[in-house]
Amino acid sequence: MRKFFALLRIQLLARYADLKPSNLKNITDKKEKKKKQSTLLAYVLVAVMFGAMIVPFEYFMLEALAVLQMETLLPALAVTLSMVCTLIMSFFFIMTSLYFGKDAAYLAALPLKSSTVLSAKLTQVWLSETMISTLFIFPATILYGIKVGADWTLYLRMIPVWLTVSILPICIVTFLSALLIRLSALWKHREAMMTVGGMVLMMAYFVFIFAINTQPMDEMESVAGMIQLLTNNKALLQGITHLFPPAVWAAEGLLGNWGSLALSVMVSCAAVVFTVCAMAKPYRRLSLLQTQVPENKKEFKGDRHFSASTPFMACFRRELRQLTRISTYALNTFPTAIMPAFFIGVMGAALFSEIPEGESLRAALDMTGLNVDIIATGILLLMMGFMAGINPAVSTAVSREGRGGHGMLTSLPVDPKVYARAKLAVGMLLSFVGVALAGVIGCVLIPDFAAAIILACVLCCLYCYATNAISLCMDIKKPRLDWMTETEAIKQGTNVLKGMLLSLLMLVVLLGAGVGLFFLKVSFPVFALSLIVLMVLACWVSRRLMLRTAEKYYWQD
Amino acid sequence: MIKLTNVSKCYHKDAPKALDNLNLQVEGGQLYGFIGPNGAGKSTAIKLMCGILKPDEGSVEIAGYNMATDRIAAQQKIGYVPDNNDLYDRLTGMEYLNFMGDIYGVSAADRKAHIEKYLDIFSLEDAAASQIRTYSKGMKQKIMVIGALIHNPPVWILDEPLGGLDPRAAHLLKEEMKMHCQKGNTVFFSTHVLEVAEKLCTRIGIIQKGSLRAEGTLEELRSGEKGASLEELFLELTDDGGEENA
Repeated sequence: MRKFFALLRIQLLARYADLKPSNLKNITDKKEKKKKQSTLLAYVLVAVMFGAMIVPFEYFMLEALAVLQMETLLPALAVTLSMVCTLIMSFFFIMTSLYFGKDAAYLAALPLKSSTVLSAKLTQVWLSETMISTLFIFPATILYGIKVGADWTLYLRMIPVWLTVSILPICIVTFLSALLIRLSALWKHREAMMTVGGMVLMMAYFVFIFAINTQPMDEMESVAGMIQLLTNNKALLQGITHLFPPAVWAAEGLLGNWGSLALSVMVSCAAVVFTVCAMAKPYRRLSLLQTQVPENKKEFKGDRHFSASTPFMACFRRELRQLTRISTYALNTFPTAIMPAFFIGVMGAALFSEIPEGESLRAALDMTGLNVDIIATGILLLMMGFMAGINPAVSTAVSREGRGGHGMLTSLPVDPKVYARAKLAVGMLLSFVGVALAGVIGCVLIPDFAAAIILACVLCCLYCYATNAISLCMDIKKPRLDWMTETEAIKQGTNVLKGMLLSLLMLVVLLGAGVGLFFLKVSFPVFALSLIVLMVLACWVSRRLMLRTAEKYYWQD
Repeated sequence: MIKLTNVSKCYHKDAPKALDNLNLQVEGGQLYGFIGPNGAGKSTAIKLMCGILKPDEGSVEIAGYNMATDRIAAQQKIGYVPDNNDLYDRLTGMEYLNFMGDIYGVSAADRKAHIEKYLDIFSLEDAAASQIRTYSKGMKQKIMVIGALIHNPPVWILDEPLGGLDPRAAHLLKEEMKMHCQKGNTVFFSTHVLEVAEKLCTRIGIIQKGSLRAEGTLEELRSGEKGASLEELFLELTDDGGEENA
């Protein structure tokens, strides 16, 4: 047990080091200290905001359920959602912690049993997931308790349910992850697996949201809207809560069945013991397999390996390979890049299913007397522009080089403008692929609006060019090179936030111009030409600014 | 103290053996330098000794314990300094050292004595409370060394330990290695720096393509080639007719 707690302690200290007050106190650099303090504050604010969103939502849901005389569904849903969330969210945590951690080989050299290492790592996952479960279980149970006037035993029963609710999903994911790695030799392609897995999960999430949420958000923030939502999805919600027997036992236990509570706790405990016993040995072998560098069996022959190209192409390829081969970068850029296509696809499919056969959407909308092409362009541009604007591929392009990489690149006899152009080109390639895909899908699903879709795509590409160029300026001027993990480089820099805000601002300006033209009642061709000219101008200015910034600041450390 | 008997290791079915029937014995009180070109099998051998890898064939014994059957007992006798010291950047130096103390079951009094002694030797007292991420490469290496020595291991294994150390730190580490040996313990390390092996080691092993090409004291190695330097011997023993050392 001593070794277990030592290992658990070090894992937790390593993961939550930034939250430790003494670490914050020891930072001597004032700027760094302020940065850390603001990050902490941001975390607290996000947690508070999340809580502030969840509590009213659960309150309205409970009120609506009370009308339908289904109050007990709220705690049951909280338990089920908590389990589903753990199942999804713990997947990457477990994969990273168990198999892709950089300490696997080092821990293997220490006198530790495999079961000790595995249980310490799983305990770390459990602690994190239990924190997330708090957000589901606590408000739902407390609101339910107040509503039905439950006695203190409800809150007593809540504790074991809260503590054990994430155990079974974690055990399931532990087995699944081991199976994935063992059966498909995915350890050789772990970067690709993380990227594709991330994209699939994100898609699944949005499909789920689209499937369940048939009401606009503002309507859901009222009891009447919630009743409508619940009535529409009654069968689905009841089905979900009865899908997984352990979730049913936990929910029944929470609501007063002591036998079910005992069964739920015992099953969870047995699952832990079984997982640790069954997985300890395979875990050690599989985790060590990850530390071996996969052998590259590609044949090294043919002239293509020796083809010469320009410094620009060399920089472009380097940049692209960095994005595709580092899973953290790929996960944060590729799903966002293809998201416009996904949204257009979902929206197109929804519209397609709403229109009765033989009728035209265009004919129906034309009856309103408004210029529907302009409105459609505006909606599509807003959607695609928003998604493209939050892509951090360009706004972190210089920061991602890191201290060593930046030093190396600045030592090469390459014009800084070439670096800037290459970085911008890679960002544009991503944006273009996503937007073009969205255009093709949109034209196929909603052919009536092909002209508006094509215009929205063209404008979106131009918008991406301008915003990417300005985001790159900011990253060139103040790159964050002192990062330790790739996640810090691509996610946790202020340049990411600045890039997003700037993109939103430009989108608002662009849409403002569009709205102005709409109210001027210009024809669609004039509308299109005006916005294209405006955006080309914006691209030209931002490109010049980017090149000047690169020349002036890229060498500056 | 360290005994490898007919050890072979192959990473992939079609790949050549990383270690091919390696036999090696290092006794207590010996400071053993393991040298070889890149990809010769040095790190693989060290990983097998530490229990990180399992041999396909043969056995590994540490201080009388078989690594296959008594892994925990064998590892308890080892202090290992890996070549990668970027492991727990977010921890403070003291947190890391306490972790190592807990793992090896070092009592609070012994821990305090060891940590204070080595922090003083390596001039790390002022940095011990800071996060390892703020350390220089040399400081990180030093904290790993202190962590490995916290339980006074009878077998001290170091993988390329001198990389990134300044001359003073390198000197201190070499002195520490010598002192550890003088107490009757075994020190085994891999290196590329032939001068270090030449001046420091009581025995040297030269490995190439997974097998031991030569082994012995410097004098024994030189016996065939009078007056030859270790560099000349190394180049001769590892020259495979111009083949690339992958």
